[in-house]
Parts: sequence; structure tokens; C-alpha cells
Amino acid sequence: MTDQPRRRSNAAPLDRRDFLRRAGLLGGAVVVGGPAFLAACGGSGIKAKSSQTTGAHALTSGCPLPAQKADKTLAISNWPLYIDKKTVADFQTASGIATTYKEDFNDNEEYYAKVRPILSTCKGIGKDIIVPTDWMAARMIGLGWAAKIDPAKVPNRKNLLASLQHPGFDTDRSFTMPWQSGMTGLAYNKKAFADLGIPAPRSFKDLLNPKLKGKITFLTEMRDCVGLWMLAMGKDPSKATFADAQPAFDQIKSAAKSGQVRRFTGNDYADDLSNGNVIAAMAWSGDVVQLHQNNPNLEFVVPDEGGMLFSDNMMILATSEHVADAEAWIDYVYDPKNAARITAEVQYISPVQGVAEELAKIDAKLAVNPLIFPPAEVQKRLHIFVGLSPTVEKQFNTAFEQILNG
Amino acid sequence: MAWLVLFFMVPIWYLLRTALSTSDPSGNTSLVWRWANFSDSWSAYHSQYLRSFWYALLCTIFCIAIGYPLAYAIAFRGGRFKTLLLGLVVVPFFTSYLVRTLAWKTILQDDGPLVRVMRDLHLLGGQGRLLSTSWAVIGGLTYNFLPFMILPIYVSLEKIDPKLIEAGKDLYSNSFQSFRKIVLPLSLPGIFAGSLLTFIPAAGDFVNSALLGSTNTRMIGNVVEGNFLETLDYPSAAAISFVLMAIILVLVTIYTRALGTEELTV
Amino acid sequence: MPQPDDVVIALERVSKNYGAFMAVDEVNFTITRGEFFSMLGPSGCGKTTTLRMIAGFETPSAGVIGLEGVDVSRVPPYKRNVNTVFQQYALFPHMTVWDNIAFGPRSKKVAAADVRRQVDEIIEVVRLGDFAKRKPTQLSGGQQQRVALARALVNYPSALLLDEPLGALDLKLRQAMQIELKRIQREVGITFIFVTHDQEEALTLSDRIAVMNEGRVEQIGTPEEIYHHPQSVFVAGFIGQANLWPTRVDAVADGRAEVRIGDTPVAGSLDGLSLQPGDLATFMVRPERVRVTVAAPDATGASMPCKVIDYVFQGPVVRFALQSPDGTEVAAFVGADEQLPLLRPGDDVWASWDRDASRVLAAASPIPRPNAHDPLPDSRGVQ
Repeated sequence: MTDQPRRRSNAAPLDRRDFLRRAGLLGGAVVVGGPAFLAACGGSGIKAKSSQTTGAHALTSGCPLPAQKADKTLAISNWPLYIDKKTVADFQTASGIATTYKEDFNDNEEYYAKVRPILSTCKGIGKDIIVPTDWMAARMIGLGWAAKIDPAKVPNRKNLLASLQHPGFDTDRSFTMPWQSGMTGLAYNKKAFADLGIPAPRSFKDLLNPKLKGKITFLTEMRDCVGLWMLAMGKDPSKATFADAQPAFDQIKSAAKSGQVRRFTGNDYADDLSNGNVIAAMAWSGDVVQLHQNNPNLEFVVPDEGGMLFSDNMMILATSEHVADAEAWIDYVYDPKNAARITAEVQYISPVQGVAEELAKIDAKLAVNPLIFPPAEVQKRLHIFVGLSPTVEKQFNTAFEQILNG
Repeated sequence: MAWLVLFFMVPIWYLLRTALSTSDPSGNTSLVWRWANFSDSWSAYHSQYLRSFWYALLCTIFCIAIGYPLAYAIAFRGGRFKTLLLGLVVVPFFTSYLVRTLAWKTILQDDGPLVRVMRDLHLLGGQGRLLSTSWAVIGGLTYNFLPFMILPIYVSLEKIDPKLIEAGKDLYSNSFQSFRKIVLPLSLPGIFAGSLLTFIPAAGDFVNSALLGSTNTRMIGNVVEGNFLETLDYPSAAAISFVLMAIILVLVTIYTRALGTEELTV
Repeated sequence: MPQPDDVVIALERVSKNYGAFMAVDEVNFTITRGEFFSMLGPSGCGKTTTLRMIAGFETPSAGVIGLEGVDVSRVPPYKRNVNTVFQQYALFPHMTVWDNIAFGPRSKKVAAADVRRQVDEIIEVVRLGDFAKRKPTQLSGGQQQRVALARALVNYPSALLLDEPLGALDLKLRQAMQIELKRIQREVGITFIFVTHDQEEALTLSDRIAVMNEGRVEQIGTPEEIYHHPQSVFVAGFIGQANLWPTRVDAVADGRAEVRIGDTPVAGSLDGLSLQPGDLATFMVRPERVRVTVAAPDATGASMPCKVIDYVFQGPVVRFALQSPDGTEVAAFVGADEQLPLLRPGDDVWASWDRDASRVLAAASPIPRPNAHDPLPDSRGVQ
């Protein structure tokens, strides 16, 4: 526990539910890179009512917006350790809106399970903004839980990176605005590789070297683990079917069975990496920025075959009585000055245009960190997992769970 | 009676309902009396069941092997430190289960002193590590459930009149024979209680395997957790829990018969 | 003196100390085969510690314990052929009566058939045949006592050690068990070493008694010797009741010493004690030897004038409390068949006793009189 990766819950440090789910940031349908990504996002899956197989945006059943209040208050649920210490206070001072910011969004599925009975009857949960990951945002929009964001109230919307403006699940960003994004790839200890006399890994296939047996970990997050291995097997996770994913499943399974992969982790791969239990791991870029500062031997690389991309998205709940206050918040954090302050702290990829310039004024080194500002060459290699219909998603989850069950 | 209904029957009923349902991918369940969920849970996860019982059995045996001498020492040699020693047995409970288990990750880590010494002594097998192996999981289980073994054994030993041991020695039994013929049989109720308190939670545990193990050490508890949280397959998770309960009930019944505890409660 | 072959147990200068506390202080005695030997004394006198050293549960700090001519001072209990009947019996609760009794032979690896024969035999001796299959908790106190006896006796030990074995029983049962014990001892012919604080029990059962006090043996002898010829004030006071006067020796002649009670000269046997004129001494007469008469008695023994303080009629015995010439109280127990006039407190009477009834002992201070206020010996309750 020497390192404190950004996105880990600081509450019960090892409840697997916390770290696993926290890890649940996987790609639904967002794009950092060029237009190629946008194309990939077409079939963003939505889990709506049980019988519905897919379907995009069943907004007809959405909750009607309640009568709005003018008492200038705002309640936000976000992931733990996902903001700096000043922004909330500064926003209150600047806007006069009394803001309650809670780090109680620990886990996509868990949060969903908790609020579903309430939100499905269109009753409020005492929150105005929540920050689900892409695929969960897709599900919630499909259920009609999101309120429309009025573009006129959010002038800084213009700062949203072009690559993130048209995800499949919210094609014109009517309901969501990205909070932070991140890459999933390969972290490794370069000194340990040198000591073993093998070149630094460039692909997940490099991790199948017998010399690395028991010295690598994969992620428990299905979309990351399967997506990265599909890439390694030459499949595109942004358009693949369950059949396409089969070779990846087989490869993961044999690596697990043989003990080549030591274990499957959430954020806790960071501990294994830093205390030397493993020397290479599937990892999230934001964690590794931190790990690298403590141990310069730890490097992050987007594999040659490509990496995965995810975003967490601010969403105003359709039950909110303070939509205008919520819009004020979104507008505030989309000011590059404010966004840069958040990035300096959390070190994930900011969705706000102009952050690099502002960040340079705070921390010049971070402003050129390729893990925070991936160069175009890297962006080209990032993929978003295909949108899954509920049935197919279950197929994927079940197959992956079987591997985890050993 | 009302308590029993409220805190046992009602939850069991809900669990049973869920176990007999089907669910859609978003986790909505509908009761269709699908009894096949039970047989499915065995056929799909029998290796995890068997692994859980095997680990729990080894954990119980290790707990007896470590816990009995400790309880014996405290009961018969503890003297005025008895209370202190018992306190030390219980003290770990003041720390969270997760944190204690997590601490073992640090103790057992590959570059840690323990593993290095064991490696130097060639005590470790081919993998050259403890973490993420069966032994780490079984060790974690043993560590976590040891107090549940020590306390009941201590209680049963403490009740034994030291004069009985003297009587045994007086009647031509040396220390070992006196132990075998007098102390051991009289402490069987403690071993019995301790075994149940250890085996049952160990068989259903998922924390040790999740933190100290790998996919090759998955226990049935991890499957329940995964089905509940990852795949949102509540009926399957409930059915597994039910089958687990049923198997444990059968095992405990056999164990009780075999040990004949009615005879022991003198 | 017993022949060496007949000596079962011999203690030579055996001591046991716990730190500075001397629990047993240079104890010497020998016990012969078939003897019923008691160690008697108040609690804390060292009798149980001595017994535990013989059993092997304690190791002597100094001295030698011989068993059948072999030094066993440092031999563990399971290698000594002595067996113990514990105060609370210490029966194995998880075994039947039969298995309890068979424990010793089985430990000695006696053949199964012999075990069966021996156990069945001894179980009849203690009359527990019908209870063989019961657990100890299903038995009465007296039955448990007999199981404990059988469990020890079945091994035919060189000596049976009994640690206050009757202490847990009520009075009636205890008296019945005394007779039973004596019968069993005669039947099996084994040496019994019996620890008790109950002087009446010791007198009833024993061939010889060792009276112990503060870790030392005060006197060893037959019950009659101990009772009639106590060698110390402690023994005189602890066994039975005694009228005791601290005094000083006036003259010594013919094995007798002359002393005074107040101004009344009296004399008592020295029983071999060597006291000189001028030594501090204690004069003793047992209450049942004191006669009470209204008229002055004839001159065959000693006599002195007294006043009646109290008079209690108890059926077989009349108990007097008299005031002696020096003001001390004298107890006298008189057979009820004597033709006594009705006496009242304040009446003048004569107290007298036979020449051989009085003793002069070496002085001890303070004089222990543990039994001075007990009722008659026959009706004594549990101490």
C-alpha cells in the first residue's frame, strides 16, 4: 500500500468489489482518437428492460423532470480520489452554489444495483450529478434516467475534445459530458526485464515468454482483458462478435491455467508491481503515472497491437431539481484552467481542450507526459470495446467469469 | 421464535425464491421454479466446490495442529498469564479481516524475507513463491480461523480437572498416554466445536482466495461473488449458496455421527 | 522392630520446601506390609504433601523415599507401584465404572483376559457389580468412593495412598465407609496409608498413626499410645480432649513429676520425658478420667476441690465444667450410671483421678487446644 493509485477507493482498501469495480472503467463507446474511433462506436449497447435485446435509446420511458428549485444547491457523486482539493470550494465561491461532493461512486454495477429500485420509479436519490463509465452511462440513458444538458447553459462545452463529441451511446452529447479518460495497456518494470535479459515487452504476446511465468497479472475487468487480448490476436474489439473473441478467451484461459499469469487484479496490480511480485501487468495509464513517480523503472506502454480506452461521464439525473446548478458545475470544470488543476492531481486524460497549455503553467513535466496527453500516433492505436447487447454482454461476462473461476 | 422467523426463515425464503428464478442480463429475476438451477450449479462448479472443501479440510487440520498445542499450553501452562495469552489470541479480531489478510500479502511477497529464506532452503516448489498459490490461500484461511479453533479447545481443556491427569499417571500412564487416554477424549467436544467453527466459514470464504490466490485457487465463495457482482446472475449465485449449505449440513451430520458427540457431553 | 523385608515404605529425613516455606521438615517413618497407617494433623501440617511425595506427584527437596527397599525419590508416579485414592476421587468422567477400574491394568499392558478377571474380581470386592456399565456421574458419592478404591486396588499396589478419601461424604456414609474400608483392607491385605485431619477417623481405622504438625512428625504410635501417652502438648490437645495446665516441675521421682495446680500439688507420669525440677511443663488429665464427687475421695490418686461452673446431661455422659483451685476450668466427663446428686453451678465438689491418669509434658506455648470446645467425640461433625 505504499502507492496510492488515483482511482482506488481509500475506504476498505482491499474489498475486491471496490477495486474491481473501480477498475470498471472500460470502454463503452468513447473516442479520443480520430474519426476511426467514432465509426467504431456505432453499436453502443444499452441495457434496458429485461426483454429488450439492445436498442439504442429507449428514451420514451424517461422520467419527467421535476419542478426545479432555486436554492442554489448541488449534490455530486464521483469516484474516489478523482478530483483535487480546491476545485469544489472554488466553484462554490465563484457560483454561490452550495455543493456537496461525495466520493461514493465506487463501482458501476454496485451503484446501479443500489439506485435502480429508486430511479426506476423516477424518485430522486438526492444526487444531481453522477459519473458512470461509458457502458453504464449507456445503460442509464437507455433507461431514461438522464436529463438533457442545455448547450446554452454550458458555453465551455466548446472545449470538449473533438474526438469525444460523438460517442455511440450519446451521439451529440445531449446527456453526458466526459469527466476523465484513460488508457488500458501494459505496465512493466524495465529493470526487471533487463535483469532477465529479455527486451522490454511491446505486445501482450511478449508476456507469454516462459521466463515470465507467474510474474505477470491481467485485469479482472472483462472489457479490458478481453479487448487487449483480441487486439493481440489480431481482432478488433471495437467491432468484434463473441465468436471473434473466442481465440482471446482461449489464450487468456490457457495463460491462467498454466500459471503463466499469476492472478487477475483490479487496481491492486499496482501493489504487486511496486513490491516486485510481478514485473509486467495489464494496467491503467493514470495509475502508472503515479507508480512511475515512485519507481522510475515502472513504465506504461500502449502495445503495438493497440490499447483500450475508456471514459467516465458526468450525467445529470432526470430526477434532479437543480439542473441549472449542475450545468453550472459542468461549465466550470470545462474551463481549461480548472480542468488543468484537476488533471495535475488525478493525472488521467482530460477531455478538455487547452488543458495542456494551462497545465504547463502548473507542472511543465506533466504537460508533456504522453500518458496524460497521448500523441496522435498513440491515439490511433486506442480502441473502444464494441457496444454489447444485454444478451451478448452476458455471454462475454459468463465466458470471462469461467476463466476467473479457474 | 419470532427472531428465528425474522432472521433465518425470511432470508432463507428469499434466497430460495431467487435460487428458483431465472434472470435477464440486467439482473431482473422472475420466479419460474427452475429446480435445475441446483443441479446446474453442481455440474458447472463442482471443481470449485471440491476445492473449497479440500481447502477447508486442510485449514481445519492445520488449525487443530497449531491450535491444540497453543490451547493446551494456555490452559495448563498459562498460569497467571492465561488471561493475557487468551487476549493475544483474540487481539487480531480488533483489526479488519481484510486488513489482516492483506498484511499476509506483504509478509508472503516474493521478495520478502520469508520467501527468500524458504527459497534458499529449497522449501518452495517450482514456482518459487508463496503468494497466488494454494498454500497461501490455505495458510490465510488457517491464520484467519485459528482463534475459532483455539477458543473452544481451550474451554474444553480448562474444564479438565488436573487431578484426572495425576490419576492417569498414578495408574501407570506416562504423560503421553495420560494425554491420549484422558485429556484428548475429554477435549473432543472442543475440537468438534472448533472444527465446525473453522470448516464451515472456511468452505464459504472468498477473501483469502481473492487476495492470496489466483484463478487456480478459486473457491466456491468467489464463484458466488462473481455470479452476484460480475455477471448479475443472482439465481445461480443463490443456488450455489443453497447447495453449499446443503452439502455442509450433510458433512456436519456425518461428522457429528462419527464423533458421537452425545456420548461426549458428560 | 519390623524386619527389613516387611518394610514397604521408608522415609528418611524427607523434606519439601516451597521457597522459604517448609511444607515437610525432616520426616522419618517406616510402614510395614499390611499396615493401616494414618497421617493425622490439621490442614497445612504437611500430611498431604508427604503423601504426594510417596505417590510421586512431588519430588522431595531432601531425603530419601524407599519403596520395597528401592529409592524411588525421583521415580515418576507411573513407575511406582503405589496407587492413590484422591480426595474428590478424580474418576474419569468419559469412561464407565468398569473402564475406570480397568485403566491401571490396561496401562500396564496386562493381557485382556487378565484385565477382565481382575476387574470383575475387584468390582465384587467393592460391591459395584451392578454398576459396571454406568458413568461415574450416575453414581452416588459412596459408590464413586468405592470405584476410586477399586480402581486403585485392582493394581495390587505395594501401598494404597488415601488422601482424605472420606472427606466428601456425609457423616453417616463416612461412618459406614470407615467400616467398609477396614473390611476391604483386611480382605486384600494391602498396606494403606491414610491421610486425614479427623482424629476419630484415624483412631478408628489405624494400626499406627503419625501425628503431624507444621511439617514435622510429632509422634508415631498405635491409637492407644497416641491417646494415652501423648509425647507433646500438641498431640495431647489434638487427639481427644485434655485438661492442660501450664506449670513448673517441682520434683522428679520414679518416672513421675510433681507439679502444682494453684496451691494443690499433683503428680503425673513423665512417660520417659526427661524433665528436671524447675523446668516449665504442662500437666494433663483427660476429662473422662476425672471423677466428680461431693465427698472428699480416698487418697489413692490425686484430688482437688473445685466449684461447679456448668453441668450438662447428655444421656450416656454428663459433662461438667469445674473451676479448679487456680481458677482455670476443668472438664470432666462422667458416666451417667454413676449415682450423682443433683449439682448446680456454685456447688462445691471434688475432682479426682487415678494415679496413672495424669501426665506431665514438656511445656509448649501456645498450647493448642483445637478440640477444647468440641462436643463429645461420638457426635463430632465434619471438621
